[in-house]
Amino acid sequence: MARRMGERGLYELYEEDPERADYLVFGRVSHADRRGFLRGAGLAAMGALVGAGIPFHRNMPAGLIPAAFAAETELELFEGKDGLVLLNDRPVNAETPPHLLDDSVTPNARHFVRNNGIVPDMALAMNAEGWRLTVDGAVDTPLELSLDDLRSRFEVVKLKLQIECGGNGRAGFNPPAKGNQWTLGAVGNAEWTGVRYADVLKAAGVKGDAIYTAHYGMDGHLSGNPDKLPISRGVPLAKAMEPHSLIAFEMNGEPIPALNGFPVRTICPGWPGSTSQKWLRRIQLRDVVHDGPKMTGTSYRVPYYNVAPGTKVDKQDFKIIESMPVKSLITAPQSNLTLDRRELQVRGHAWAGDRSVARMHISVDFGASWIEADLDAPPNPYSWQDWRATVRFPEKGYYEIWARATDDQGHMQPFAVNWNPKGYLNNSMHRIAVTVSA
Amino acid sequence: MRLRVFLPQRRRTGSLMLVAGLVIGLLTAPGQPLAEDDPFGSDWPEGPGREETGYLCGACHSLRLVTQQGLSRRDWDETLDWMVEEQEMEPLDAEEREIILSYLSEHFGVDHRPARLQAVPGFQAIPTNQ
Repeated sequence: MARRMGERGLYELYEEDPERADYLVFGRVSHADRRGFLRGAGLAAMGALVGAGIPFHRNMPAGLIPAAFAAETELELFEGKDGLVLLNDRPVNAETPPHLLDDSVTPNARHFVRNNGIVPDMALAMNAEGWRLTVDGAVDTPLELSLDDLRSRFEVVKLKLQIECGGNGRAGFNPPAKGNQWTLGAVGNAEWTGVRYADVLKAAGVKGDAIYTAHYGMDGHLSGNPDKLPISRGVPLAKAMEPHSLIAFEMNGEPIPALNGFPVRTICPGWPGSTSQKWLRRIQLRDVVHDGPKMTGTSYRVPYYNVAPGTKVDKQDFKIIESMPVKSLITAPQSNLTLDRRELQVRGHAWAGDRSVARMHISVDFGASWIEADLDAPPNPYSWQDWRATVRFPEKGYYEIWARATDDQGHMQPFAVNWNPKGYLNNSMHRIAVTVSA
Repeated sequence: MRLRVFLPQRRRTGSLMLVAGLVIGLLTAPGQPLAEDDPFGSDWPEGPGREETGYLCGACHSLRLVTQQGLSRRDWDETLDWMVEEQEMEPLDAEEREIILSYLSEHFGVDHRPARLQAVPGFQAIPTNQ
């Protein structure tokens, strides 16, 4: 096996002659001062093996096998995901094809991954020893809580909660928007176990001037700079105090997978997934809107008025995205089905950010007419809702099945969504292709 | 303490697969140049600036992040500014910047859409005057 051979060979080589091994494997030649010197292909190769760039590579002693080789890598963890499409491997970003999101509760292996930085060592090791959550800032009593503290001091709740990346559907924008080109599957609805975010804040005692929370995670910046955070977002106090916002430590009854935020993350359901901070280590209450990385500028923001496609918009004119819009997916059948019958069962899920879905409609004639689907109530608020319908095709030929959800305030999914510079909030209708052959 | 090196075997692991091949190749035949001795992969287009751009972008993140994009030259220019201002990239000298900007604009311009996206219903592009 290549893996065993490579493993043994590399260690033997380093044991015999570390400097020669550096040269052979990474093209690294030691400096006179005994520092290693990586450039070109060698640096890229070592970076690829470590799973990150090595900004301080000039300081790395010659003959040293990077410590990161000892740990599981993020890509190795991705191998444990079932059928996800990898958009980016450093950092890992992967979405789930709609037909693999058919379960009412999304299994861990099929929950999308959107990472901004490097998965922390604690998550790679899946060992939460020494982990503490700090709650500080505008509170009466700052807290330092262990996992046991969370479990013993607060009521433990289990909720099915939908999380959708703010950029889900970005690939549908033209002109294209920067960033990961998500199509349909950056959404999931797992059962999360944790404590209410509100209960933890109440235990700390929220001061009167607190208006916003700030989340800090343990993930590392891609540049390798230890002083830089890849992402630190938060929510208005009211969202944190909402009884379905959680500080979660289990996903579908198991420790949260490393790629999804082990050991603890916030869940702020119905809002852009980035408000559900992974690998959580600190919650700070602030008397201003949090200004951490990816809170400011154009990140997770849209213009507060509609703009023509391609418009350059002044940063002053952007507002922070809060609730995600009404949306739905067809999870069965898979698109591009060929059928020799005139009748078909169709099903999927629908969700609506902070709201619930009131009605679900299906069309097989490009939106000219609609039938109402059978729509389930959510098992708890902020869960997506299952729906199903039987559609009939009048003759053979090519059809598209379109799905359109309407939320409890009457907002419907559009056919085409207004463009915005960063490609957020695409809730246009999901369409699948069906060919009736006879 | 036993260290362990991860050498993935599956194709979809992309650059790591390549590096694994490189490592094994070097161990079995030191000094021999290898056909697969390409740190960027076959989907990183040939052309002026290929190496400079690959090493610059690939130092911190996967080149998949680049190959997904379809941006105008102006947007690529802004992206390089953002990388310097927000993401710790070292500033480029004018000549280097021109080479890299030209490579990115040439191969990942607004008409570039990865094949994966063209197969997703509902993601057909709406014509614009841009």
